[in-house]
Amino acid sequence: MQTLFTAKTNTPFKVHHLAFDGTNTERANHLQQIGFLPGEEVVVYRRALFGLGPLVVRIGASTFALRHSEATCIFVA
Amino acid sequence: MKESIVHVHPIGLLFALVGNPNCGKTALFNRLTGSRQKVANYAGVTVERKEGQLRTSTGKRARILDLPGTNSLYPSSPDERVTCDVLNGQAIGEKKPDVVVCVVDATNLRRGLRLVLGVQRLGLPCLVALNMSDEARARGIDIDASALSKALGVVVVPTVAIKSAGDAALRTAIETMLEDRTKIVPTSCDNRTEPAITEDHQRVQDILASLGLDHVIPDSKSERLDRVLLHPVGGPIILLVVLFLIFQAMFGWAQAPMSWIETGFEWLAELISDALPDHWLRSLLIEGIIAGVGGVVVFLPQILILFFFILVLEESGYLPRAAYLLDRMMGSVGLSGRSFIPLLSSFACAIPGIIAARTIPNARDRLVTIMIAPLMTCSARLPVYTLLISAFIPRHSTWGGLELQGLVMFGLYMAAIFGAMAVAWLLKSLTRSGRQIRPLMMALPTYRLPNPLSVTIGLWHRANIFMKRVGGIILAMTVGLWFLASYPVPPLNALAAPIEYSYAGMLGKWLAVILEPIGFNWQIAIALVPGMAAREVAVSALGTVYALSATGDDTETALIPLLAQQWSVATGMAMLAWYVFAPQCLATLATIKRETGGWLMPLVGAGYMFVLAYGAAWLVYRLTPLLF
Repeated sequence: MQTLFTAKTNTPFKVHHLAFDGTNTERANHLQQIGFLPGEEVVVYRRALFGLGPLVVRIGASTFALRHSEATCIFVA
Repeated sequence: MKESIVHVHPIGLLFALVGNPNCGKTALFNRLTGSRQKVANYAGVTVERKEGQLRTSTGKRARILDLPGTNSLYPSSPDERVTCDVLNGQAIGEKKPDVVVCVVDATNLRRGLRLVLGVQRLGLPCLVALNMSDEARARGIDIDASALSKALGVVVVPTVAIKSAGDAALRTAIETMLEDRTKIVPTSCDNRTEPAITEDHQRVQDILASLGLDHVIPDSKSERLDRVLLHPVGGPIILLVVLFLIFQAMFGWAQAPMSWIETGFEWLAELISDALPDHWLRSLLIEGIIAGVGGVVVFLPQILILFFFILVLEESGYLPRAAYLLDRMMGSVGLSGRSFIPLLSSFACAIPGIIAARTIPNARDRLVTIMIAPLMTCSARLPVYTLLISAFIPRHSTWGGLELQGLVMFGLYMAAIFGAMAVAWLLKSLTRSGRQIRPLMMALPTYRLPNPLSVTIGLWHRANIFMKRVGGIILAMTVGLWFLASYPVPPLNALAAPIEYSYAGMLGKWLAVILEPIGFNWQIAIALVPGMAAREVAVSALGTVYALSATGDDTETALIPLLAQQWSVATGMAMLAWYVFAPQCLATLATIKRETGGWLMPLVGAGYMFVLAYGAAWLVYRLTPLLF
């Protein structure tokens, strides 16, 4: 299974789960609140040059800019 | 900017508007109550609760409360906490709402419905407004309102907040509740109070499936635009070009209206000097008010041109994209893209920018944002910049038709941004928590065509704020300064200009000792003192000081050529450098005190900005002679 960080651009995936550990529960909660929930369709449709800078991600019908640390929390299938 | 006051109306039913960020709550609030609260196309425009009144056709009244947008009922930032406190009945001076109007973006039902379920769980009666229902239909999203109403057990009405009468169905629903209070009933699905994210998510999926809306219809128009505007190479170039054009337009378009205003004031001064005898009143009117206030009003066209572009960008949905493009830069100095919108608002005025920092979840980031917001070039600096640029930078085109004056203005904005980034970077290196990686999670809204009417209203609002400052603080400071600069009257055998014998003259000469190393003369020293109240006052004060310093053989009356004649280029440039960093705005310091709850932060802020301003002016004053 891969994370959103390594997911292929412009390809639809489904959110599988969010990775929690002691240090990023708050971040994971916030991601859930803005819609990163199991089963939701997710597409990465922009990456910055050389993988630097945030990703543009569509989750459901919303579009969000996420930094790498957020994208690596999200496991997709 | 004024602080909004929440009036307490003890009678009448209270309807609170609750919804995700940027779903159109404030637009709907304005429509229902006839208010003119600020709306724009990005998350986090409203950070405080605002109240208005709705009157029905039968004369009944309801209180309407507009609340900051929230993603859930578990607040992660100070603005979301406002909403949650009101819903839990914990807000000071406000009762629990009688009815919650859940505003749901119809183009993004799944996100809105999760919040609706959360509100229902609080046991509050509610109503659902499917906002932007026209846009949803145009995109092929057909929502069966009555089926949704049945599934949720609450009244569901379609609304289009940006169209007149787009709130008709919601009004009717509110009126029905006002006429018959037995219709107001809580619709709790269970009595759980703890988070139920997974259960709610499942229920939303089921509802969407039963309505035939479980497939996502993408927003192809925004996606196509993003392909160009967020392009890894093209995107930043487009952003730079846009910013650049704004500064070119500020100088290119403003010339004609500025000269009309100047001519108008000259005509007025002549009229007064012909009509009145040589008397203190004539001096107050011409050397005090016209030289001072007129000197500031001249810059209205440039301020309006800048705001025209800001308003268009705000409405289009481009601003959060700009934040995305600049995120690497923000990240490298230890800030998240969340700081971008508060910092951007600070280009209008630092006060709303500092207040907007409430949308930042992380306390350290919020504080850093508040501390660097006053460095952003607010519109009050524009008159000072324009005055000095017009006086000292030649008006000619350089490479490929670019105006040199516009180029210098662009450079001043950039200097402020780099200064702020340097301060943020320093704070990142000095604090341990500053080195942690910040989350971004910023919503990129749907692109929309700016509405000409709301841009016009926004400009009118801006012109009003500016003219109120001119008629209020600037006028008061000018009259006060005129008095201090005219009395005591000089002895009969005085050789120098009368102002040199006045209170202001004495104060200026004393202050000039401190300011001499950075190239400021006593006239500037005088102007800086009332300039503490508001930055533009420095311009009106210079107008008054020079009008009163005239000894008879000066040929120039207008301030711009007069400064060019009397100051060295190094002094002019040093004053520009001073104004990039100087903490010259008491209202901003007062806002920092209110938002941080103590005197420490405003004092630290004023202190570091003063040091930066003095250092920058000193450096520029020494370096300029080497260049020219």
